[in-house]
Amino acid sequence: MNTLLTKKKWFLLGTLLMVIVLLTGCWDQRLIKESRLILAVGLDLEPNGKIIDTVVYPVVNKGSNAMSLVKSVVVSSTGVTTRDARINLDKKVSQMFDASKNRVFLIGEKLARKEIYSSLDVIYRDPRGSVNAMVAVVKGKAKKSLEIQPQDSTLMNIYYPELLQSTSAIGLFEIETVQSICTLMFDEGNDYLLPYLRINEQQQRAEVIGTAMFHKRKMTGTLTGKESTLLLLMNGVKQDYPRFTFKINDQKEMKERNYITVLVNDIERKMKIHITPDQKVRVKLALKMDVNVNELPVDHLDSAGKANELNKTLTREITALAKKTLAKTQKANCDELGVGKRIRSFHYGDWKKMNWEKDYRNISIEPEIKVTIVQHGIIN
Amino acid sequence: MKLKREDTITSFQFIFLIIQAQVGVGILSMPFNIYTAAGHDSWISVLIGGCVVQVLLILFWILMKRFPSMTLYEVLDSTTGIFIGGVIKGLYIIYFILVGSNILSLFSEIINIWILPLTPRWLLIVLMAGIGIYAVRGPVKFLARFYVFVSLLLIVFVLLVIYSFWEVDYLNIFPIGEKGIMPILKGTEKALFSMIGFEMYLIVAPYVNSSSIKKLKAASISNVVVTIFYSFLTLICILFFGIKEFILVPEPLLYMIKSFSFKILERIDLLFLSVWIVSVATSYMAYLFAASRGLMSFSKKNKEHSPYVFYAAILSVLISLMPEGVYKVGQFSTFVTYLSYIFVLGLPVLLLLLSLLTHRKEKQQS
Repeated sequence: MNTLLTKKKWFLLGTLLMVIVLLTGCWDQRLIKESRLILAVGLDLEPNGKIIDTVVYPVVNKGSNAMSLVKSVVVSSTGVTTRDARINLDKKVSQMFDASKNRVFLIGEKLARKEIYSSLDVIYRDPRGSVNAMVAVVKGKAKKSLEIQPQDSTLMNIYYPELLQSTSAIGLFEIETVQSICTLMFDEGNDYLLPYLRINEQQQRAEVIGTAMFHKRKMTGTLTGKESTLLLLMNGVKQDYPRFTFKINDQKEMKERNYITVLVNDIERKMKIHITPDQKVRVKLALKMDVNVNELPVDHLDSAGKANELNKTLTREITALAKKTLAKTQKANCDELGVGKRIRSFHYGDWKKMNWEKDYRNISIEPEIKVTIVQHGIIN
Repeated sequence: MKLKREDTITSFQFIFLIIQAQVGVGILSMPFNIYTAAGHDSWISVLIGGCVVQVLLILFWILMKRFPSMTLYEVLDSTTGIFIGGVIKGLYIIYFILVGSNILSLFSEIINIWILPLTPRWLLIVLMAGIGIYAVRGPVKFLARFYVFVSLLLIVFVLLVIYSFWEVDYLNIFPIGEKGIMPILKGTEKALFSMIGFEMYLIVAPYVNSSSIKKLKAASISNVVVTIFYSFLTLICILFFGIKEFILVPEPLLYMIKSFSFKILERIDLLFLSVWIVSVATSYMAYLFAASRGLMSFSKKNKEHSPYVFYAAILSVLISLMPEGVYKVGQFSTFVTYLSYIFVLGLPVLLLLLSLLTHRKEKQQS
């Protein structure tokens, strides 16, 4: 073969290339030992409009007998934007921050009620931004939520994700990440819920007290735990263990005997949207729930007839709750069910004539709920 | 000018050669580019784009059937004469080098933004060009074998994307065709540009050792594969991002994959990018080959493209270093895209007409 280069030159070229290949790492290497790994972030809004950025990073203290203790360190700083606050933080912490491993974003209610997209923009823009971190709203200040020292885990980056995951399993909300809410923030006619936390300083714990309803980029209301669970079911999402406790009568002296707790086993949801020619929207939300009785201190479930009676009571109770919940979402203008999106998808002509910003409040949503007890545990 | 007999590839390898030439640097931003024109009907645009490519492939086939052992360059010589042919050949070589440098500069820009912000661009470009030179210098069959082998990586690519089916909202593609046919056709134009690479048919076809109809079959298979692959990617991106967020993400595929994380592997986008780099390399190699094959056609005695690879690569590196920053690179890319109108659509069709009108054909030799 007629080669352009001699063997010697090839060898030289090869060596040069090898050297170049080996060099590339040097520009962009980031050593973990040289950076502060941020594992949880809290964002708050000061009354003067500045952002308080609170971060948690682990510090390893070498103990005496080869035991090393990992400790969470909390620092915070203010700035005009999230990144500005982070720059200010960098000025007072040794080593560079690395936020790419962040697990959870806690947003103070004040900031959430104003707008969240602007504060998160920096994360979307950064190729190493932690877009799969979970997001939650804190009642009061997010800074406080990172300063508590829960006994479950000394590390905030473990405590909060685990807390959110376990609460999500009992059906309060679907876990949303920074990325998943971004899509929903921009989507029309489809809103979202974020977990809503309260800090209990006495017990040094955070507690999920329900969900925060969002419309586009800001928080517009809150739901209690029970309401969120039902709303999620009405949205056709069944988590592992959605449970409800309802009052079924109030004659018993021992108060506990007035209640029943059910675990939702299976759901079947159908949403039908009727639009009249003058764009009046009627949504029929049929939800069939198969439930297990988890707790029934009165113990009267020995026949199908009794179960039927209970079914009726439960259906009545849950329908009432559903109506209340839906009214709340409409008041908050939070279209969690995605009714608007469905109208846009399947009735585009009507959608163009509507103004969903205003119209969602005025549509009528009729829940038709049917509860059936299918199991009652291992006793009657 | 006849080709060396032993340097031939099979029609099976030809399929992968065209697929790999088509799938390249543009794939990351392809769904976005189409989306800007066609909105959430982009996937239809891609399908229509595939049909257009098929028509072009048939035209190419008719042209190349008349000159079974010639590449585009020799066809130019024999239909338009040595002088005009020479000029057009030169233009083609410049076009291929420009596409090559466009690939290099887009590649370095994306790597710079996504994973190696501090590494200088020239280094990335030189590394890529180095790989290109190394691979293209050998015979075409080596290149083809390499292409077949790395096509396995496309499966990884697809699997990574399929994972996103867990997190999509099917309602996002509705209402279908709300804005009418015009935006879809505009999107088709953009889709066509990301399918560029099938013009390799004009260069590689004579190297394929099989009947003419089999060549067309092979090219059609690769076109169908690429079309389905592209519309699948576009569809997934639409389902994932919905209508408004899409506008914000110029590299939707990468962005989507970045938001996933597995237990054992946190940044899948890095894995994805590594697979993508191979695709970039293969399409760069294809253009490098096309350019050096063109340079070879000017020489009377040389029957190997290898000596010219180096010059073509150097040129493409130098040109690719000129545009700097996202906006400049974008402008350069648009410029090259418009050139492909002339070189992929216009000239080959003109050439076909010319050869049909003048009844020019390669002399039969049996």
